[in-house]
Amino acid sequence: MPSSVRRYRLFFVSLSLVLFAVGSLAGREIEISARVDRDQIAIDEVITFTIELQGATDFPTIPPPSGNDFVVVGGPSQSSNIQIVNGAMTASKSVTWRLAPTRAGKLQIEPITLRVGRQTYQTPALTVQVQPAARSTPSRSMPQAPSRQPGQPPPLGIFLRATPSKTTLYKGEELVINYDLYYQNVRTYARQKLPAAQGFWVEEFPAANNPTVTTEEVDGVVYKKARIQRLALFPTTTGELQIDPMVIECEVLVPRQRRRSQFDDFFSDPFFSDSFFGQSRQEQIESNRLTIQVKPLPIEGRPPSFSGCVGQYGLRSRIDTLVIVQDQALTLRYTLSGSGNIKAAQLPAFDFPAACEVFEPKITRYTVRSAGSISGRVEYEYVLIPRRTGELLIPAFPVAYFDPLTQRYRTLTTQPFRVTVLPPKEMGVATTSAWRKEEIALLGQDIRFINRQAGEWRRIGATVWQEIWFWLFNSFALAIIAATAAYRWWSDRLTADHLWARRLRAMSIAQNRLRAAAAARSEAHWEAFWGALDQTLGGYIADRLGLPITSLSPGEVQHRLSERRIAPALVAEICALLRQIETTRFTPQPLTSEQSLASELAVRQLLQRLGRVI
Amino acid sequence: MRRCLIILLFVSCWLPARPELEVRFEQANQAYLNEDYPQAIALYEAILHEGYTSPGLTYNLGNAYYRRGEIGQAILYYEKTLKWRPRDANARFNLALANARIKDRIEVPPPFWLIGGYQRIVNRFSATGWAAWITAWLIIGALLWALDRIADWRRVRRAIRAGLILAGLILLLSLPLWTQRYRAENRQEYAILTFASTRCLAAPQEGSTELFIIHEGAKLQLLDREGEWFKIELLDGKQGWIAAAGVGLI
Repeated sequence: MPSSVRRYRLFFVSLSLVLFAVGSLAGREIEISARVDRDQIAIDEVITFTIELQGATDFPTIPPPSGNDFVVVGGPSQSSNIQIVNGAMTASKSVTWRLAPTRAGKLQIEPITLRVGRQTYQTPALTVQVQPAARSTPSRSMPQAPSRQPGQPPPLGIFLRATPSKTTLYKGEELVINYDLYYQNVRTYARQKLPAAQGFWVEEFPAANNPTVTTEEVDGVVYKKARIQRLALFPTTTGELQIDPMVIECEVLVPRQRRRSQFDDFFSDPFFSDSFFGQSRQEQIESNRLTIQVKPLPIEGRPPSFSGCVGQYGLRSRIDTLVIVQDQALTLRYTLSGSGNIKAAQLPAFDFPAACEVFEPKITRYTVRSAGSISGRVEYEYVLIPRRTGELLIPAFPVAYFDPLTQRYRTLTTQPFRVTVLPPKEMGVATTSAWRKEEIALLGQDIRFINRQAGEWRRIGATVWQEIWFWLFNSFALAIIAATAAYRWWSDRLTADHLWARRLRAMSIAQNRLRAAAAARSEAHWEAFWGALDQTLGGYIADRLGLPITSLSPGEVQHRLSERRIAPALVAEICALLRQIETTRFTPQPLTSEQSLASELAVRQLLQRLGRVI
Repeated sequence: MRRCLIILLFVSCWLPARPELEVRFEQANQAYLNEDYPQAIALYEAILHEGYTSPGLTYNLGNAYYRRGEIGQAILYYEKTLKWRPRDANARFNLALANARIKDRIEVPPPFWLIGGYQRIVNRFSATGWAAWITAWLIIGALLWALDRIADWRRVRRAIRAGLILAGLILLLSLPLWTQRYRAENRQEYAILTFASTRCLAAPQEGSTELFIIHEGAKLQLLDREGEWFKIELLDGKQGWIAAAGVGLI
């Protein structure tokens, strides 16, 4: 079954019971009574006035007490009760106010008249003795009423109380303030702002996610109490210092305005959600403002080595080595630990021996906030470089602090160290005075030796463009590429262009034929000689002009050469020689060797002349 | 005769040193060894004034200045050495040692690993080294191309073509590296302050607002020049104008 259905069924069953009980109580007599919690109070105190009715369910509205002796400062708060025992039902209702006296003396709370149906009832008059200044004996132990504190509105049933551990302290001494939330019905809270505390250095203790909730009765009212914040403050100045209130925002549950009955307890069960039976609203709550008196630290008895540490401290000294080579670095650590103003704690300036070089110390702080007070440690790490061989004595240095518990200055001393400094192994570190912490990794080392080889000499400002080798080798590479390209082009054209190949080779072929003619002449093979001469001249012209050699007659030669605008004299000479060779070749009479030689020379000359023009 | 001249020309390219410079360099080294650092500096700088330099010379000059306590000058010459020999371990070490002694220590975050790796490749060679590398591969590529075009070696043609592609790729990738290295070497983009300290002004004129003070050895990036003033930027991004007199160009 769904929970909502179950919830409503239970509600209607309860309602039926109430209606039945109301019916059974109708017509009964009412008993009325009135009482106060105390009959003797001081003028600045309040009393609780309660009227109780019994015997009916439709109780009338009870007016607040009238009269000039008292004013209502709280209430009314109502409670109802219904009991059914063996079918007999009894009901009661009580209404409570908080009343403050207006004057001292014997004061009276006027009777209150109630009308129920046709009957009239009246409460008895009550007398209260009010003392002017002296406090009356309280009926029970009550802390100071928070409703009288500024910034704590009592009607809400919630307030925030700041409790300092002390109100007078020394400058630099720790002050712990607890912030306790007193509440009756708060769902959530969130911190709005920390208190402004000018003149204080503030440390915040870690806040618990789920603070422990206790109950505490304040001014006759029982509150739940949760410690929501703890602060540690260290005054940095003296005089009367103010700590502003801390502000939190709460979601306060407010019951609906309805008559309270016995069923309220029933319906206040978590089984019924707040949203159904109640409502909430946001409230800003401020704590009380605190005034703290800060005293200056006593001048009397203040040691010279005091540097502002206030608290309880211890001192530890450490050194990484007691034997070291000159110009090597050694590390010295002083650790001040304890509780107090650890963040402001510092060691005094130490006067180290002149035989060593000391760098600015590296300061590390570690703060612990989890304990009841602020504690921690501060470590000073000094790097020292002995500059002389022999014994280096690091003396004991005094460190003073002020103990606020005993209100006296105390002095701690560091441990003295005797360091043996050995002579340097080799050429030492360059004598300088400006070594810094960052150099520690390089300390003990010197610059590396000079280069005995100069390396590659070059003109200042010279670039690679001025290097001969660069141009030579790159030209070589480009030449390879160009030559390859040219060769490929030439080779491809030789294969593809036959006429171009004939023209290109014409002279070399003619030269070969001329050599063959000369050989034939020397062996007196005249037919071969004249044939070679004919082919030399005719073949050359045919190759150069791209003509078939067989069809080349002297007339054709004259025609072709004239077309090319060759000098007519040269053309005539060539044609004459061609005709002579042709005539002689096929004529039976032999020629002398001189004549044949002359013809050969004439062919050679004509070849050279022709080569220049075609 | 002509052939002899050509051979001499080739051989002169590989002549290791100029003898007179070597002699003077050795004299300066001797002065350094004798701890006569002013004399060593004078001898080293005399070579520089003649217009010659070498990585060994600038490195040794940096050492001599370091010994004399002139940290700004020492850093300047170590930086000059590293400009030409970025991987010179001795110069790097000595520069770190000298930098540890300057006042204006600016922490520069290491570059992104990809950029750092690229920079290491660029610094693998000097600009001349990259030029030689590219020339060698150009010759190899040209020869392979010639073989591919002329020779009819069917069995090795595939290997020749693979070699040709490899050479082409190497050339293609090496050219931007060479360009970057060349620019890094030949641009005077950075400088070292050699004066003990100088004021950085808001404008290039005396009397303008003083922005900050820099000290000897600080590395400056040169952004602009206006007469006798440099507009500089520190490694942490601060900018201002300083007088050019106390600035040594790397």
